[in-house]
Amino acid sequence: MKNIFKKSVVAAGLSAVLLSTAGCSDFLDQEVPGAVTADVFYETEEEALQATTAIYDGLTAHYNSVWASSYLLRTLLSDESNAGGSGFGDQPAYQSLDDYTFDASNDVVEGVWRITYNAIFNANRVINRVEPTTELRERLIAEAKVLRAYAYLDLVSLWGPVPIVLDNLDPGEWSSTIRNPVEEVYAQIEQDLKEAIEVLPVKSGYGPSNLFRVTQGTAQALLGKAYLYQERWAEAAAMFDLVITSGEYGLEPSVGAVFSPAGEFGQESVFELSYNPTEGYDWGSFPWDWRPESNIHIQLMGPRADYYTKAPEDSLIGGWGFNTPREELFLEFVESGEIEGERYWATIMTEEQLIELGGNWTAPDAYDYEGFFQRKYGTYVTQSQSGVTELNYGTNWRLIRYADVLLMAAEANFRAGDEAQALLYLNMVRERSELEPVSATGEALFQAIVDERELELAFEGFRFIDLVRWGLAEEELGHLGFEAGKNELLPIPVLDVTAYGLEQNPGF
Amino acid sequence: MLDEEGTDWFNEIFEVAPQQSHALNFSGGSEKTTYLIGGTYFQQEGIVGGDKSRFDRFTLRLNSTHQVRDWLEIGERLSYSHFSRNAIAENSEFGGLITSALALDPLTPVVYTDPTAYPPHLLAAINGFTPGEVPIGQLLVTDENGYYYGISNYVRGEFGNPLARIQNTKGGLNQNKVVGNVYAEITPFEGFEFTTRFGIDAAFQRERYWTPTFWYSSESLNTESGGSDFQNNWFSWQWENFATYTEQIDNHQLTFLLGSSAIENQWNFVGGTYSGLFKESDLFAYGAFTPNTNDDIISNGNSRSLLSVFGRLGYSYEERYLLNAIIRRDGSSVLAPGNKWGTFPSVSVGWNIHNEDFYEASGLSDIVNSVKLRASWGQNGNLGSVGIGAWMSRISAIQPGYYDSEGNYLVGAASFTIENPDLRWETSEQLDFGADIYMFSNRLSFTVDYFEKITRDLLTNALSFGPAGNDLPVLNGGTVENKGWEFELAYRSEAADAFQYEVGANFTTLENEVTFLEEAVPEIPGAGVGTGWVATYFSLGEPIWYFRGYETDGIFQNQAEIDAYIEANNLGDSYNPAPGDPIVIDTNGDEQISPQDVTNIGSPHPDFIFGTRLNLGYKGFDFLVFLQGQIGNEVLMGFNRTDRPTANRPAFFYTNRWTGEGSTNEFPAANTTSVYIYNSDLMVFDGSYARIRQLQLGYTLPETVFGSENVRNVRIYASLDNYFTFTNYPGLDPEVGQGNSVGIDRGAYPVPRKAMVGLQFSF
Repeated sequence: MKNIFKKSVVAAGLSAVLLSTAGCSDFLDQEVPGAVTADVFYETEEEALQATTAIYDGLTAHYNSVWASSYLLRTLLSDESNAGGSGFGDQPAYQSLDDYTFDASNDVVEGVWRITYNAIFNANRVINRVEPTTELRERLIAEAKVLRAYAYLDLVSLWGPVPIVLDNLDPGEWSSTIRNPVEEVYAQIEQDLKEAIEVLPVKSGYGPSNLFRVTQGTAQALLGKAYLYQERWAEAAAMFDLVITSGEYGLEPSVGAVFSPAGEFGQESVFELSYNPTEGYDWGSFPWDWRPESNIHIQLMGPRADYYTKAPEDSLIGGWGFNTPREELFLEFVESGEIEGERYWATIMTEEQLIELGGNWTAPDAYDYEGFFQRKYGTYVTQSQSGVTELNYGTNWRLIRYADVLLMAAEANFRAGDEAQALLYLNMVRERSELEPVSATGEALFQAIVDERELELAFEGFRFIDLVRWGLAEEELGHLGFEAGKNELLPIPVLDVTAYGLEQNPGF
Repeated sequence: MLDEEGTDWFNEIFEVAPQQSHALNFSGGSEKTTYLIGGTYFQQEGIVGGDKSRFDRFTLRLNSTHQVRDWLEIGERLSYSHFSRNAIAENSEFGGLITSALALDPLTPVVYTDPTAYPPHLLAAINGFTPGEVPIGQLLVTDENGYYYGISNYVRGEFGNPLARIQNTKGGLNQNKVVGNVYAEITPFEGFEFTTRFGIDAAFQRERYWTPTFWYSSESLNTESGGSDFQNNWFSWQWENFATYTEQIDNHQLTFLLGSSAIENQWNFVGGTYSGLFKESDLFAYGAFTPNTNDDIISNGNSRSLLSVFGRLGYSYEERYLLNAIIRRDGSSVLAPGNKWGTFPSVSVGWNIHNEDFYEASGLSDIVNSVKLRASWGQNGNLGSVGIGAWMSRISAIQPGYYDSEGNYLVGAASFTIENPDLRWETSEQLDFGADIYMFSNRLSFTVDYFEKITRDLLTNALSFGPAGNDLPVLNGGTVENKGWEFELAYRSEAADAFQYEVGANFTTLENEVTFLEEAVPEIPGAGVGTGWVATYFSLGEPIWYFRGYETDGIFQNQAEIDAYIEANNLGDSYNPAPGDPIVIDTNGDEQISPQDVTNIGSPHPDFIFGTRLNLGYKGFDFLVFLQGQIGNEVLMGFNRTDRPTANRPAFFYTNRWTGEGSTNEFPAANTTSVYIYNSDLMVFDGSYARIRQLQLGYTLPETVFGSENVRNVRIYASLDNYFTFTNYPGLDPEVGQGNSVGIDRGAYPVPRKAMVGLQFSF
């Protein structure tokens, strides 16, 4: 008996030791360095500011470990340029966009689709989680709404019907998500912009460091554009008039000035994305597996350095040779008679001009090369300030500039029947570049607006969408491979079709 | 100078590499104390890169046990190891060394030895400048004789002369590791034993690499030398306590076990990068000697914990009926509250028929010495590589900064993942029925098993739904079933015979299928190959991570065939092949050829795995052959990139190609870019192989040779490891890839063939 008792005591004692190690309940608490969860974030004004900053930053992810530029996507689909690079196998996703041989598995199409929805994800967080308890918080929510509307306008104009996502989309909802009709997407865009217009300050309401933020004017210009794309001409004209009469914007003295470092966030800037030239990246430190703060697409688009020697007085240096101008754009400049003009020189340069100025080009048969160099988003050495020049271009993408607003206003007014107002706006843009005023009427006036947009906004990523909405895409892009009934819209990335059941666009 | 043959880059980069290993062990002890002291040294140079991929390892070991009292034993195990490794880039289709060797053209020489015969593109480079105005001549890489390394005029991109790249590989890593534990076993009374054991595992690793300036092409260059230096420290401790109690009641033997274990894994890291070396030499490749403005420091650290409790009940009746039941609960800190714990039971039963009275009475036991029937069922938990915070929608401020309109840096904060609090343990459940049979005085053994292994809540990474707007790094994707039969047969000689032999073989059949998928994820895209092709998928009813691409059916021989094919399938304008192109099948029948036509084009999983073993021994000689292989697995050749059309291709692309009507229906005309070739079943090959893992001949010297009490045994041996491989796969090695890249050949460092001689002494 005593023995059993002794055994039990020992066994119980040891079992107690044994289980004590399993007993401390906080042993499995997990600390996660460097990260907080969403439920404890978005509380302070600083956090609301940081979350809003992330939306802007997300839109700059044109290089995000893969090359997937929303800018280059649209530009290559136009008749302004060829893909270029070292050959047809260099960045095949860009090449196939240029050649209209792309399909639903195109990396750039998928990249832009994902980056745009990521901006919406970030905007939704600010809109849904930040409490509008102070003026600043209300403003940040309004900024997020404008950025969300910007993203949806991109989606609806490139893909047509798209899923409207306004909050976290849990994995359980993915397969049941469908594409909303175009009308619903536009309704969402309009609602966001109208709400934001009520809250946002005008541009001069921001200090000089905050000019990168979207303003009341940005929201109005975007809303005008959304109306224009829906052919609601009078509403569009009215909205653009608000921007124009606000007195917040003006034209720079020249197109070259708009695209110079001094023109960034200047009087002509309605909305642009900020890149920075002072990161000091070198070949080892450049974040190839992430997204850089500099605009690496500028380097991608410089004249191919293997063959290019810059002119001594010029600051356009060599790059990787993408986005090479097509001759037909050059001929438009010739036809319009402004070949000697400043606007031409801020847009394009011929090989002859390069050689005349003392530079050189050694490969007349270079791939996708037609004898021209692109100078609007140029590899200007002045736009890179630190580290290895090639990797530190700080050139901003100009998403909406005042000249574009004037031309959209001209178009809206023309369509709404006010030719006088249309001419006025059109000629404001021409006058800046010291061009003769247009006095056409009727169809000729419309053609003048079409031509003006082509030349003023060349290499800015608008022409493809313009041609599609004007019904001119087949005529102007057919020889490049554009197929009517198919290429008006991009394909939905294949994964979201096959794995998650979104309906594919016709022809893909 | 080029010779007629051109450069064989494989010949140039592969070399015979020496390997050596030495071991010394002492063991001994007394009635109360035992000890083991040992040390090993191992050194291996790489077959690519020689001492640039050299590996050195030293280990020391000290184990001892002490019977302090009748009821108390204590002991320890301690080992220390040091290794250093210089590593070169491999298995990446994006510019790995092997891929560079595969891709580079034979027209480019290894080095230019004749300065009067430099090709124009080299001269242009020597006299040229980078866009940033750095003279390219300064950046060109030269060998030890000062000759410029060959530069390809055709193949650019991330590829570069692999020998120049080997020369430019600088640095390596070394690690010191201490593993040990102390334990005490307390036996307060007969049948009861309590063990407590505390162990640590600490590793300290330094990685230091630097990159000189170089220029391989305008797309692959470095104008400023720089380096990185990282120190990783890992420390884990584990404390285990368990008690066992054994009781014999008549013929019933019972064993109870109850225990717990706690583990904490800590990690910390400090490192930095620097650039602008004063001299491009190892002696200057430290952050201390570069300008501070170019220095960048990174540090990090975390800790995770795992807690387990477990119990076991063992029961045996006269060694006839056996039962073993286990239940364990594991809790991990990395999962969300509510999902931290998983419970994993298992049970097994056995019946030793040969211990039954009726069996012994039957007389069968003279031939069939023993028969055991087994059945088991059990579950295990696995967390794989689930990281800390993986389930959270973590908001961090590391990267998404933005510059305002005056150039001030603004901190941004965003989530990079979607929240997944449901993340839970992956459970694998195994059901097994088997039998072990021994015959003819136990000389013949035969084992058969039928197994079903079901992995539920399989942890996998996935590409998320685009409109969700973010990534889901890891999720419990679904259920995978593996089932099959396993046979093992061995026969050996009588123990007393002078000629000793043992021959054995095993054979396993394997069937792999995804049997369930979470509703949220109708299928999971796996690994990408090259640019823009998701090549493996996890889909219901298919093998896990099967290959998906275009299915082809021969080669178009002429335009009439093309017209007829398009007509017959109503393909219209969507498809414009030329003679010599593969015939692509409209698998979804939507009357066009599009990316939606991709389908199952192969499985990386074998249907059968087999192995055979032969041991022979005669008067001091011993001989061993071990062969292993698999049948039915397919390999996707993934290193031929469509975006690098001038990159070299394996020779069969040329020799097997279609050259005109009627030439072949197997392989298309020369083409460097078509997705219908490179993303299709034309890149999928039979990866079945048989490999002689080991072929060894040894001789043990007779004891009389030394005639000494001190040396008991001396053995000399020669061995060929992985020396012979039999396969039809036209790439380097059919044994490639893992995870969702299993079976994808991205230009892997092949399993090296080894020839070894060795000497063993026992004292």
